[in-house]
Amino acid sequence: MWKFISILLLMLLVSCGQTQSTGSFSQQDKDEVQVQGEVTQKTDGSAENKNGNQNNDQLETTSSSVIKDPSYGIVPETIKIDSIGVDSAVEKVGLKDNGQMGVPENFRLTGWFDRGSKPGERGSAVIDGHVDDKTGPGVFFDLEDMKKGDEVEVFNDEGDKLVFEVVDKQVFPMNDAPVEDIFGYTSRRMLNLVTCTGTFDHSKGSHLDRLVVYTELKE
Amino acid sequence: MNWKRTLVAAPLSAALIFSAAGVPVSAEASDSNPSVDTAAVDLRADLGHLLSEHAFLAIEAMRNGADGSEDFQASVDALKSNTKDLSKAIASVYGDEAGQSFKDMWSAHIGYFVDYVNATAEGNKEAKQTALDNLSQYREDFSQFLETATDKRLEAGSLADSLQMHVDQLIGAFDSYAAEDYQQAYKHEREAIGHMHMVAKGLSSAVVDQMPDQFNNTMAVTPAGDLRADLGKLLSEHAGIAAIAMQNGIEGTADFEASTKALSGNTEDLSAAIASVYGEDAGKKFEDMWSEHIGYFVDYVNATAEEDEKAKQEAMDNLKMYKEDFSAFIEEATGGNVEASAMAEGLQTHVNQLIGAFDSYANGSYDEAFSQTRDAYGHMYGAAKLLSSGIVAQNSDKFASDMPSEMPDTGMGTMAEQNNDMMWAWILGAGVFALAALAAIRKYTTANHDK
Repeated sequence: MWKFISILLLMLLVSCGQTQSTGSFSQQDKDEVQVQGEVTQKTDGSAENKNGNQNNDQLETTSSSVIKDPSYGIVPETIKIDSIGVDSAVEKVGLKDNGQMGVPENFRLTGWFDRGSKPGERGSAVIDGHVDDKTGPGVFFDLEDMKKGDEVEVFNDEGDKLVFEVVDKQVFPMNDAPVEDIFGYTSRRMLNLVTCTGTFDHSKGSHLDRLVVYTELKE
Repeated sequence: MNWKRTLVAAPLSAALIFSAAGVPVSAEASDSNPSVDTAAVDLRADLGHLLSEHAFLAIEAMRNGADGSEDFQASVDALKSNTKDLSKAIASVYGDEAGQSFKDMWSAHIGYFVDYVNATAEGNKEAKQTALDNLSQYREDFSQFLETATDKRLEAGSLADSLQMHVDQLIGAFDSYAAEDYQQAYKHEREAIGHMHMVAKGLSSAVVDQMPDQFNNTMAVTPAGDLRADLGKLLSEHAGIAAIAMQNGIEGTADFEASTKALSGNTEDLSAAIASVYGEDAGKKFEDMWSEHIGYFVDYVNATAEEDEKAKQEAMDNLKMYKEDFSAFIEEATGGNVEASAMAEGLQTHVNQLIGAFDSYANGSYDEAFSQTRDAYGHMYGAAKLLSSGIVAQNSDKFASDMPSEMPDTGMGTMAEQNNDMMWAWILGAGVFALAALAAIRKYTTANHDK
């Protein structure tokens, strides 16, 4: 009879483990994500030479195409982080009434702060995700294990991919995080990943610290 | 040193500051009250003004150099005085020593452009390449300067990259001009002017981030700050290109048409900015009115060419009438948040500056022409502040801060810290469940057995 109990026990644990593993939910809860037409338009500096200078053939002075700051911004649909086994759909989140950045209801999904920068744009794009919920680990459970140089891949709904690289990792007390730094403008093309960390305070119903992994676009 | 006073007073002479005394200026931004008038947004506006003016004047000077035109020296002097103002602005933030080393570096890069222009004129390929090599070194110099000033290596690197692009854009504008592809040359120019506002955005953010206390903890990049920066960019570009188009008109230069096209492109962008706040109809009405006033300037240029004093007066009268209509339009659109009288006064200054710059140019007083052109360019930053301030006051919801005040709540349970406890809870829970299940199965099988 004990054998029977332990088999049952094992079966139950395995099924728990399955629901708790960070699986791919990329097709689930897919928001209607729209791309605003500025995907990876690299400007090349190649000369067009519409109107060569015939008078001074020695000079080789030619008219070139206009040089623009490249625009890489995409609306994120999926995020993949191989080093910590994340492959998740990205929802759009905004601001809650209390001024907090929103977070997806589903603790296995990630949320992109859609009032801020798009990933790939100059500035700080922010994607958050739960570290856990009452039943188990969330999508960013292992975020704290990321190291400098680890890669983060972000895709839009057309499959265009941007690759970011971890440049820094910081832990801040929940009420004393440099929000301006994490969400604010910079001339760099940043994607900052945010989750909870530290002791869970039952009286506040929240973890006491926030983990921020700073990543920058690899161009 | 009172950095703020120095910053405002030194680079922006009284003539550049918008003359309207009754500008509705609110206090520093609070969370509930978006404002275009904060220390950080001021810094962004000042840097955007001077950096973009640098691009504008540098392209102008290079063109004059290529043509060997009479106003070449005056345009170079205007560029130099811009460098002086820019260095003062840097010194006001980072101290005199930094200001001086900025000035040395900045002047050196202008020198390499001059070398490039001269080499092109002489057809000296080797000298051209040397100038380009020197200019490519500029990124390193600038990066090093910023790294020292801001203590932020990565930030410095990305800003220096932006400035390297500025160098490439100026060379592009000049090459297109030299190749007589004038439309392309003006496209390069508009891009180069716009690009410098992006540099100003990044630089002001980095400075404010570095010394938040000195900027009253305000931010350079906010929705309200973006509106002010956008209007400043387009209005000053209008003034600059209008001044050049008027010069081209009286000289009958080959690039005249291309310069008027660039001016129309600017008008379209301005109208789109207005439409983004007030809708398509208002944008269209703005475009019609704005184009009308450009037309009167063209009339004035033509009348000058024909030495027709009567027609000149008529153009001036039309501009005066236009001023009233346009100011009334703006007052109505902004629901009275921009007073017509303040707008009219600003417009009159704009008209006086452009006409003054043009008259001086036509008389051969080139120094005066460029000095007035600089005033006209800078004046628009006051106009942008006035306009954006009224628009933001009227639409405070639309320009509310889009930053969260708090970090997200990304955890609900106790996984992270109490992993082991959780594991035991599962095992315990699962064990209980298993026992219950076993009991049920036994009951079931017993029941079956009994049948």
